[in-house]
Amino acid sequence: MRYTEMSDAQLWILIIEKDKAAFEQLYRRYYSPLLAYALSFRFDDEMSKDCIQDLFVKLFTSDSLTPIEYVKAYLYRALRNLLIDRSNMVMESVSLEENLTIDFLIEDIELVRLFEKEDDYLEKSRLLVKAYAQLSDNQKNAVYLYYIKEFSWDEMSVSLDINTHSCMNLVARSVAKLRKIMGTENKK
Amino acid sequence: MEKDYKQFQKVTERLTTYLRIRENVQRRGEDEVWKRIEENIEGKKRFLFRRRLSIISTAAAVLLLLFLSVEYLWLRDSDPLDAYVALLDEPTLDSSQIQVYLSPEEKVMVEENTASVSYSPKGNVSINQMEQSDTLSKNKEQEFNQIVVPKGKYTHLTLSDGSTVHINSGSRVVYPRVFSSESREIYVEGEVCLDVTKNENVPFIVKTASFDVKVLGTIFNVNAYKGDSDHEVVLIEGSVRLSDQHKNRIELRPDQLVAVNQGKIGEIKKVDASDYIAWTNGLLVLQSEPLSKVFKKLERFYGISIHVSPDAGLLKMKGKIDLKQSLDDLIVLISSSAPIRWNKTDGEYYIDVK
Repeated sequence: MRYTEMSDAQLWILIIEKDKAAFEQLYRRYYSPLLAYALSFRFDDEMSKDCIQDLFVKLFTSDSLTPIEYVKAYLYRALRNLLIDRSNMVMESVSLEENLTIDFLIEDIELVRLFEKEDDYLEKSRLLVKAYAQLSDNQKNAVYLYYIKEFSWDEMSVSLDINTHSCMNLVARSVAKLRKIMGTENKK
Repeated sequence: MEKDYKQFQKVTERLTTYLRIRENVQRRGEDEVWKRIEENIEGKKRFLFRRRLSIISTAAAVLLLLFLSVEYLWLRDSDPLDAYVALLDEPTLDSSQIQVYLSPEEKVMVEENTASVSYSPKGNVSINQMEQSDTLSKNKEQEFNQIVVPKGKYTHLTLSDGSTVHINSGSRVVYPRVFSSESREIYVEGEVCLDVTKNENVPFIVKTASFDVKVLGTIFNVNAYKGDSDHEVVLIEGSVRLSDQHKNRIELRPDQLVAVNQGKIGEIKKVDASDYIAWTNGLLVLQSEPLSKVFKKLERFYGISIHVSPDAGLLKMKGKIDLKQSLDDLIVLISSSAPIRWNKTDGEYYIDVK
């Protein structure tokens, strides 16, 4: 079987055995979505690429990997942790919380292109993006992973580190909040 | 309401479809990053034993700074190592490459930013896994070698008894090719982390300008840079005995730090020793330090001049810094949480408050 036909989990097992071709295949499969994920945290190109590089180097050189089922979710979580570590510096005079927020989902110019000549939709989409920005970090991450990355509930669970039931609640609450914010905005 | 809901649905549908597609076209840099990953993996193989080292002993090695002052030399005239170090020229730590002196005349320059130097029990040396041909060598115990690690570089050294030394930027170490059967002595200047092979019959002594550390098989970190007024020894595992020039002596227990100020042993503090050797894993752990101190460490590590204004220097910072990123990235990161501004002129950095 060729590497391109193997599942993530199969590649993972080969990677544990230090199969470099399998490793490259996994990398090629996930470079693009992982980069998009990192960029959405508002880090620039270089920083995002560096974290991805770090992630994969650590992966291949690690001596303590075990076979896992949800490779994709694991990669996302590991990347997020790396990005968080990189940005975790606390100034005594300025208190900082973990500030990894996906608040810039999409640029306005992209919205304009998407909803060209449909002003109604364009306005709604702007409202939606603004509403999204008001969600908490966890809510944003959940919505992003579920709707845009199309994670299954099991994968959500691995990536967010909570059980599947909690994932469902989180997504449901986030969507409800979005609707609520949009509803009140609309009435203004 | 109905219309609203339908619109909401339509908008989200189109948006999510668009975003999903967008996720998969971020291919820029894919090949370039892959190349870097490949290089890194190759490099890591060379330093595999360094990682094993950190699993066994994450303690930092003690850095011994060896400064031989004239009066000190007089006291220890008979020691061949002392005599040898006294004769050496002052090394240029600003020169760009790592230098390994196999003899006072024979010097090997290492191009890479990190080097791995290893001595077999018989004194045969290999640098980055390439064996160096033997020069005339009869009495290897009397033969001293030196490694000079300029700013911005790092070297991993394995001594003839198997002890390993992580050598940080801006440091140098002098040691015999083969240890004698009576005592194992090395001189260090700068910062090193040592993992000393246990041998109760042959004590291991790290010599610095202002103090000696006697080791019986342990892991400890010594920070004694020339030009710093405060020197520190942190013990991770085992036990060490410190003696200074004023005949003061103390014994350290694990997770203890002792400061040596102006050649005099100071107070002992309890610390989390692993914070002090995080640098061997490419991490700098800051314990609520003024930026002036932080940037001094970075300056040394990256080998690039950083000028910090007095105001900016007073700002305090704590956290973990990943030293594997570029200095530019790091300063951008720091400036995103600290009220500083910075610029780079002629390759040197200038930091000021906003």
